Amino acid sequence: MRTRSFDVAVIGSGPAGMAAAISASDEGSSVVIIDREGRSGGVLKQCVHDGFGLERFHKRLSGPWYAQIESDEVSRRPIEVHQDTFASRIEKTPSGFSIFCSSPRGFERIDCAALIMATGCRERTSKQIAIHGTRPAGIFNAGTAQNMVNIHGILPGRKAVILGSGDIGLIMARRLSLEGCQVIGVYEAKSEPSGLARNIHQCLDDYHIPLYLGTTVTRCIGIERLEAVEVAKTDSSMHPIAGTEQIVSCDTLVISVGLIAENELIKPLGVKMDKATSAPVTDQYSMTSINGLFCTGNCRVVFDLVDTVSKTSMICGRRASQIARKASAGPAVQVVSCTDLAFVCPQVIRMPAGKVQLHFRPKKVLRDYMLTASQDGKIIGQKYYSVLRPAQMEDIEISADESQAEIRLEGESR
Amino acid sequence: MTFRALERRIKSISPEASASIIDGCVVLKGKCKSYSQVLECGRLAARLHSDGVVNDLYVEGLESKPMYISSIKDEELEAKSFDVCIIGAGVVGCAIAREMSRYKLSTIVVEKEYDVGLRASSRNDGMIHPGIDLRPGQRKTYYNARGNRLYDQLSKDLGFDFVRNGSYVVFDKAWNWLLLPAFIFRRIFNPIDGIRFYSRKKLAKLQGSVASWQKGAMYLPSSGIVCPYQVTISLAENAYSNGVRFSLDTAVLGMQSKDGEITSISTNRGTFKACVVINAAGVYSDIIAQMAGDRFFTIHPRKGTEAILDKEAGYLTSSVVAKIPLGDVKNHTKGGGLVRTIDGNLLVGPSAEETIEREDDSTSSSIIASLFEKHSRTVPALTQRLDITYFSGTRASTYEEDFIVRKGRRVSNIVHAAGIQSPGLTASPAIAIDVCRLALEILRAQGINARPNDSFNPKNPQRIRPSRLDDEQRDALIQKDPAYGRIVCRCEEISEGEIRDALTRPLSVMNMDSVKRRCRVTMGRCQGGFCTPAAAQLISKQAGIPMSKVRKARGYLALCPVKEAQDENQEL
Repeated sequence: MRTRSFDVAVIGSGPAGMAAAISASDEGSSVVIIDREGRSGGVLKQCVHDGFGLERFHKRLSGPWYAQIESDEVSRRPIEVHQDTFASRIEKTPSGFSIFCSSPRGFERIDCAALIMATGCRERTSKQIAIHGTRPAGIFNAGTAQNMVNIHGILPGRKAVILGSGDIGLIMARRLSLEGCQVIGVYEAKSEPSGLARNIHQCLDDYHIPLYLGTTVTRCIGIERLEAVEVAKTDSSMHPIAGTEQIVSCDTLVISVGLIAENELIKPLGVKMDKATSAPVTDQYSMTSINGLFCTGNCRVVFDLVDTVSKTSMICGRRASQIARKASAGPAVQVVSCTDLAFVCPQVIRMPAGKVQLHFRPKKVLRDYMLTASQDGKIIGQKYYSVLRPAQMEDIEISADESQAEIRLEGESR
Repeated sequence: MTFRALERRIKSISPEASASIIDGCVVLKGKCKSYSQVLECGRLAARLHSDGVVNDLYVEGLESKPMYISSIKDEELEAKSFDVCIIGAGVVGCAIAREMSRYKLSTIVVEKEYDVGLRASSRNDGMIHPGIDLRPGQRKTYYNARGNRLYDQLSKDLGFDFVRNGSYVVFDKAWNWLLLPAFIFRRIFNPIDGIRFYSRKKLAKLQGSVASWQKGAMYLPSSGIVCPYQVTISLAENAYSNGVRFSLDTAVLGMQSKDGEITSISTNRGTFKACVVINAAGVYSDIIAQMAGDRFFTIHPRKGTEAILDKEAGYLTSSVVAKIPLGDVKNHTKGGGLVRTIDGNLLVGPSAEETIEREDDSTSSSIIASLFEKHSRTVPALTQRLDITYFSGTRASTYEEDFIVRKGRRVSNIVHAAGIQSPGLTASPAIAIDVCRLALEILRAQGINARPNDSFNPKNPQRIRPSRLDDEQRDALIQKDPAYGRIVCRCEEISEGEIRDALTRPLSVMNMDSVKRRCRVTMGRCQGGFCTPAAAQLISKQAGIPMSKVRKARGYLALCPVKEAQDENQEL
């Protein structure tokens, strides 16, 4: 069995993995990227729509274009990229981590001092949101449908219902319409759309695709191929209301009901998890509770924009390179969220921190809202938001370098 | 109960229903107000201990959906002739097929579905039952005990996964200990290998933890787990390799007989002859018996639903945990429990609902919720959050609630293996041996002396699972064949090589769900979200068809190539 050794290993070659690898390499570390696919880019490869890179490059790039920019940057550096390579398991060693990988070249071990997980997320399935009935052909996750259309050139169906108004669902509504599939409507169990406002306009309104809020799919009907779905109105806790069921004829159901951060590989290492993000607790450098183990991009927290993923991952890569060369992690202070927020990331701050961005989403729509971060009663950051929506990730900048006391977030609608 | 008493009670349930005895069987005719009345009458009739219950009671307006028949229509089997025709490729039919392949006979298995083991045989918890809750004297009990012991050798020969992990029946009340003598006494008539009794203290030591209600337990070391469709597929593969013909997508539509003997069988793929017919048609076995003119039993389908939890939940229990099945005996379930599957997931269920539908696999949220509620009493940490998917199946139960393994009553060349519900998976290898013997007897009576098949090979080609090898072995395997190194399904860690093998094994079926059942691709926590297109591409390559023609199960995965839809749009 072949064994190789690097300062920093990155698992996943999507935007997060590539950005982290680039900055770790620039910081002077030897870096390897382990990617299970044949080509770098991750899910960006199948996102042929535009809108990527608006913040970072001030251009509306397509996903593959954004990925190509990053992968060109990678190839300019002495970074080894192992494609078609699957990380099967990870072990903690006295000097870092061992990754056991399967690839067509063999089963090999890669040792590293610092490990960056950039494994992204997976989609929730129809079963996890209690869609019952039969299970004929024609039920797809949005990402799967996107892959079929954009990578393989096959259309999942001719008459589709989309469940979930998250960004992927909205984008797929437009994509399927463009490719000759009739999209009957986008159904959303919540009373608010889950996707960005710009996507509602560009993907639904422009194509006259109706959006049904407060309505969910409860049952699939069909023996060979999907023939119809049953939809029902939902109550405030998103449960279907009996008696409001309606049958909608269709041959395809596309489900876009949320993402789950993929951290199954590192859970056995005993990494501390945050219930709010269902992902590891991380500091401002994306380092987990285990020294030298990092978790960046969508497996850390589901971001709205790839630009933010790249930005935070570059911070992560730089730090991983320093930790690989035995830099001290520094004392950690907790960030205590307030009840209005669904989560705050990072969950801990390593001191001294200087200026740090905290990312968060509100639990519900909040208007005229002032968020204040304080430490020991001293205000270390404050920001006013005219409106906060769960669909939109927001941030607040804090500046913390003295006190070792926990950082408290408090907010109020004015 | 006397027949007079039965008549009276049937009348009191439904005045428009009547009972008669025809040829030793109780025949119920007429109308009921509800399906539960139909069931009640059937159950009463079974208490008469006649040769069988033929329940033709009906409820006005209540009709089951017609049987699913493949749209394929051809003359594939027209005018052909076989020594043995097995109807149904469930675990029972496939086990019989394998037994028959030990002899030099022309044997055909006809199956209405697109693959083997699609109904109850793949829709159960995969438990190899110790037989603790079975009544002595039943055929179930006899075949379960014999079948259980056959599994070690069978698993070695056919290469399916099998673990004897033992099961606990937990006493939830201290007084349950008083039942101990009864269990020991019953053991004399219903031998259960290696049974042991544990105190609460011992249980805590063995299991790691013990809930407050657990007062002690019975440990049944002979209980085990398999993957039920893997067993069925393995049996079918071996039978096929040893010369049995499998005709899938083939539904029996009628039979022609003369002088109490079946002369030919009609299907959607032609009419053919068979010297012996074996009825292993599961939920449709009474209808097959009817076609043969030999109906003496009635199937009343009983649906069961189970939830499958993420492997992460496997820690909740290392083996099967069930409460003492006292309260459940009347409901004809096996008490249910949490079963850890051979692949490390946890099953929650099953439920048991009587239904008129013979093949309704739909699930409902209320049933799933009730399963979790019931079982969280046994394991409080159980949560629906870990649920990755669920499934339903239908048990082929008779009113006698026992297996039927016998020659026909009025037809000389049929053998019935019917009414096989739980523990049918455990019992099937033993049932197959007896059915094969009965079939040979019939053939002998017809002047056909079956000689042993000298080239019979009891073993299947080995299944390669790289993720189960140690690191060095795995590396060596990949060096020899790089396809075993390229992982397609990340949740279950299934390589391209394993998918290729599933597509080239004997009796392979080129669609998504069949490949899934053969190598577990798309079976993990993402449920195929990532690997569906990649797996479909491999199938399309192997089968030499475009990706848009790859089927999920019965229906096409995708409906057309993007190009085609675009062209149509242009025309518009």
